[in-house]
Amino acid sequence: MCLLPLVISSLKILFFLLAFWVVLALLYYGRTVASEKPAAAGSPARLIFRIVWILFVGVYLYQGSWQLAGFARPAFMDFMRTYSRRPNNPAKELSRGRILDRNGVELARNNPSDNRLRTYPYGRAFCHLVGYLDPMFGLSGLEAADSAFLSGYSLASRDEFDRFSRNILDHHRAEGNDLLLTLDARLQKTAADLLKNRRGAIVAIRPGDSALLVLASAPSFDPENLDTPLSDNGTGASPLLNRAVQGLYPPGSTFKMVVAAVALEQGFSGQLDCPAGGYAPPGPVHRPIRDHEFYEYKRKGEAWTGWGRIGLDEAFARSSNVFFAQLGIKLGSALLNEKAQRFLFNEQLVLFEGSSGSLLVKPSTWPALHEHELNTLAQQSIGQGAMLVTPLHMALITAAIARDGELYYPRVAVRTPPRLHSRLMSHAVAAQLKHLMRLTVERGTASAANLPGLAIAGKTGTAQASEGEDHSWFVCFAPLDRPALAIAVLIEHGGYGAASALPIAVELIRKAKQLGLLEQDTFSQQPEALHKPQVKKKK
Amino acid sequence: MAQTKIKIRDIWSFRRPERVLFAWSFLAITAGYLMALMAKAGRPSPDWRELMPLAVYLAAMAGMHVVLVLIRFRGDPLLLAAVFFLAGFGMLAQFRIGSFAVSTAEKLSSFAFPAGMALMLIVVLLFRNGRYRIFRPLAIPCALASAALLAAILVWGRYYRGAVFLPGNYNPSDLIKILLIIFLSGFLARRRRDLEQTAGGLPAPPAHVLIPLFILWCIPMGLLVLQRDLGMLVLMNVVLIILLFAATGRVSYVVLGVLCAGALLAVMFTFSLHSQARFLVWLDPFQDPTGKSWQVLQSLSALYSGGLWGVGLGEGSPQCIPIASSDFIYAVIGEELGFAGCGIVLVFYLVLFYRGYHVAAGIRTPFGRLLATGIVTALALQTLLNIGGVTKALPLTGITLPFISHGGSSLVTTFLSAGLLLALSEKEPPVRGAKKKPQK
Repeated sequence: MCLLPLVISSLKILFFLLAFWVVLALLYYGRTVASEKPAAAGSPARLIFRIVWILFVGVYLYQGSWQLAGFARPAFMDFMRTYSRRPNNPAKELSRGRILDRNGVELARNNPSDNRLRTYPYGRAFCHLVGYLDPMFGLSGLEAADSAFLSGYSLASRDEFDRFSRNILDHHRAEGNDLLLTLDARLQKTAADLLKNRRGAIVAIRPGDSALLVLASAPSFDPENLDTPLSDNGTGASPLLNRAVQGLYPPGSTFKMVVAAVALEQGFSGQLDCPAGGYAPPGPVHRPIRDHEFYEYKRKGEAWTGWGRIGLDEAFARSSNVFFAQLGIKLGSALLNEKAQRFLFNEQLVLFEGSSGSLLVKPSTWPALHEHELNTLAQQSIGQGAMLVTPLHMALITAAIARDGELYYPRVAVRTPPRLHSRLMSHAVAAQLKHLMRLTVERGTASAANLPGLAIAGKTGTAQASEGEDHSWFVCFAPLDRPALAIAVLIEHGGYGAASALPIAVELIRKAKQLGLLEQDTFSQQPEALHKPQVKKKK
Repeated sequence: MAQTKIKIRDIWSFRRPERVLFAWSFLAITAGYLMALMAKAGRPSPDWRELMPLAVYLAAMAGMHVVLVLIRFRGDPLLLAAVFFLAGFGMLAQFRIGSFAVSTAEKLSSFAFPAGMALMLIVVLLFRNGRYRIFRPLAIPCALASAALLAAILVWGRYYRGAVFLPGNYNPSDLIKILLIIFLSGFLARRRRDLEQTAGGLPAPPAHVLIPLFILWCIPMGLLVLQRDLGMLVLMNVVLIILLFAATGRVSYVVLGVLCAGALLAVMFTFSLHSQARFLVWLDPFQDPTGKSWQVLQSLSALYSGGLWGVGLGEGSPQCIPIASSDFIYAVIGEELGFAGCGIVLVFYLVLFYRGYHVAAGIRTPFGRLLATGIVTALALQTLLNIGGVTKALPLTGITLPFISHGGSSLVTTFLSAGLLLALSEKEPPVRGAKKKPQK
C-alpha cells in the first residue's frame, strides 16, 4: 500500500524534470531558430510583446504573493480556516484560542473532532456576547470582533508574525490566544435562567473597576445550531438581537435618577404640590400627567387623595410622576439638554475594541428639547416620550452613582484597562442619590427588595411601550455602604418595575452574595491574572 | 511547380526542433498523466483503458508532424511546439477534472483536443503559402457576419450563468473574435495612411474613414453589451486599440484608447450599482467572503494550498471551486502543480506569444501583419484576463484559458486561431535559390 505514494511522488519529480527540460530545450531552440531571421527591431509587434511580457510577470508575481505568502494576510487565513474544505488545507492546523470567563471557565473552545468548529459549553447563556463561529453563517460577537487575536495572527508585532509564519510553513499545530473576559459564568448562567421564557436583558457591573459580570439577553439562541434562529422570522422574538446593548427602550421612572441628580446639583430642596388630579404643563391642553396610584385606586373604584406637598425624598421613593414633571419644568429644557449629553445620551459607546473589529453599543437617544414644548419636557422628565436607552446605559449610570459619581467605560475583557469617562456628579450629590435609592427600597416602590443582609438600593421603572403591556425596569446596587454590584434589569412588557424586574435583580444579588461576589472591596482594582499569549507545538 | 524544388530531407531537418520538443513534451505529459491516473485509481495498476486520451493525443501530434513534413510546410516550428505542449497540458488538466469520464454524457469531449488539432491542420492547409489573403477583401462582410451572428444569439440563445448560449450550450460568440479581427486587419490595412494623419499630436483621420469604422465597430460591440459579455467586450476593444497602434505606429492611439476606457469605466462605476459592487468586491474580497467573492477566494485558497510544488496531480480538491473545469482551471493547476507548475505553463504561453509577434513582425503585407498581431494579441489578452481573474490580479471577466479550459467553442476558436497563425508564419523557403512568389 505504501508503494502508491512513492510512485506518485517520483512521477511528480519526473514530470517537473521533464517539463523543465522542455523549457530549456525551447529556450535553446528559440535562440537558434530566431537567429535565422533578421530581428525587426522597433516594430510595433516587438513593443507589444514587451508589454505583454511585463504584464504576465506582474500577474505571476502577484499570484506568488497569495500562493507563497498568503499567510501574511490574516483575513485570508481566517477565510481558509473557516471555509476551505480541502483535506490538505494548511490553515487547518491553526486552532483558535479559547474564550474564558474571569475564573478561567471555558465559554468557547475548539471542537475536538473538527478544528474548524467551535463548542460553546455555556451555549445560550453567552450566545450574544461570545457570539458564534459557523462555517455557514460566519462570525459574530466576540468571535468576530477579536478574531485575529483568537487565531493568533493579529500580526501586531514582528515576533508574533515570525512565530505565526514559521508555524504555518512547518504545518505545525499553532494555537491562538485565549481571550479572558471579566464576566462570571455562574452569575451569567443564573441571569440567563432568570430570563427564561421572557424577553429582556440583565446587565451587572462591578462599580469598582467597571467590569461587566453579567450581560444577558433573552430570547437566546443555540450558537452551535443556527438554523433555527435565522429562519425564525416574523414573531418579533429576534433571538439574535443583544437587547442589553442593542435594545432601545424608554427608561420610565429609572430616568428620575438623572433628573434628581440634576436637581440636587442645582441645590433644589423645596417641596412641590402633587394633587391626585395630576399636573398639566402650561400651554396647549394635554392630558395631565398623573401618578400610577391614581389609576390603581380608580381601578378599585376608590378615590385617591394624592400625595399633597412632598419633598424630593418622598417623591423619589414613591416615584411620583406629578412631582418630577413639575421638577423638570422648573429645571428647564436648556439645562436638561445639556445634562443629557453628560449622562451619555446620543453618545457612541464601545463595549469592546478587538483586534478585528468593535462591539458597539447602540447610542441612547435624547431628542433635544425646545423652550416652548413644555409637555414634551414634562414627559421626558419622567422618562417617557421619544427618549430611548439601552439596559447597559442604565447600568452604567447606576454604577456611577455607586462609585460616588465617577463614570467608567464598560469593559468585558480583562486586557482592556479600566478607563475613567467623566465625573457625572459630585461626591455629595452621589451620596444623596444613594440615600434616595435606599429610601426607595426601605419604604418606597421597591420595598420588595428590602431584605435583611443584602442592603440593596434601587429604583423601579415602568415604561409605557408603544403597544402592549408596560416595560418593567429595575436598577440597583448593593451593598449600600460598599457597592460591589450594580445591576439593570429590563423585562419587555413585564408590567410594573416592582412586579417582574425587581425579583430578578434580587435573585441575582442573592446568587452573587452566595458566590462571595459582594464581599470584595469595591474601589480597589482586582489584580486579575494577566493574560499571556501562548503557543503550544505538537508534532 | 516551385514547391517541388524543396527536398523532404531539408524540411525534415528544418522541423527537427518541433520533433524533439514534441517528444520531450509527450514524456512530461505522460508522467503527469500517470500521476493523475494512479491518484484517481488509488493503486499503481489502474485501468489501462483510461490511457485512451493520451494515445489519441500522441497520434494527433505525430500525425500532424508527419503531414507537415510531407506537405513541406515551412512555417514556424516553435510555435507549434508551444501549442502542442499547451494542448497536452489542457488534455491532462481536463482528464484530471474528470471531463473524459466514460459515464458522462460528454463522451465527445475526449476528442475535443484531437479534433481541434485536425481543424488546425485543415486551416494550415487551406490558408498557407500566402493564401490567407483571400480574407483581405472580406473585411466588411466579416463585420456584418459577426453582427448577424451576435443578433442570432440574442434572438435564439438562452441565458445561463450570466451569458447567452445557443441550444446545445454552444456559445459561438468566441468565433466572432476571429471575424472581427479579420475585419479590423482588412479595414485598418487599407486605410492606414488615412489613420496615420495627425493634428497637433492627436490622431485625426478623415471622417470618411472614421465614421464607417465607428459604425461597423459599434454594432457588434452594442450587441455584446446587450449580451452582458463583459470579458469579450474588454478583450475586443483592447485588440482594437493595439491594432490601431500596430497599423499606424502612433502611440497617441493607445493613450487616447486608455483615456476612453477610463472614462467609460468611470461612467459604468457611477451609473451601475452592479458593476460598482463587482469592483468593490475585487478590491476587498473579504467584505462578502461567502457571497460574491466565494469563487475567487476559493481559487486563492487552492493556490495557497498548492504552495511552490503543488500537492500532485489528482491530489487536490477542484470540487471546492465552482466552475473549476472552465474558468478556474488555472487554480486547479496551481493547487496540484504549485507555483512552479504555473510558471512552466506561463513560459509556454509566453513562448507562443513571442513567436506569434515574431511571425507578425516578419510578414511583409500590412494585412498579414495586422492579422497575425490581432490573433496573438487576442490570445494573450484572453490568457491574461483569465489568469488575472483567477489570481485576483484583475476583476473577474468570465473568460476561458486558451488551450486548457474545458468548453467546445472556446477550444475550437483557439485552435482555429493557432492554425491561422501557423499559416501566416510560412515564408520564403530556407533552401537557397528556391525563390518564388507567394501564390495568389
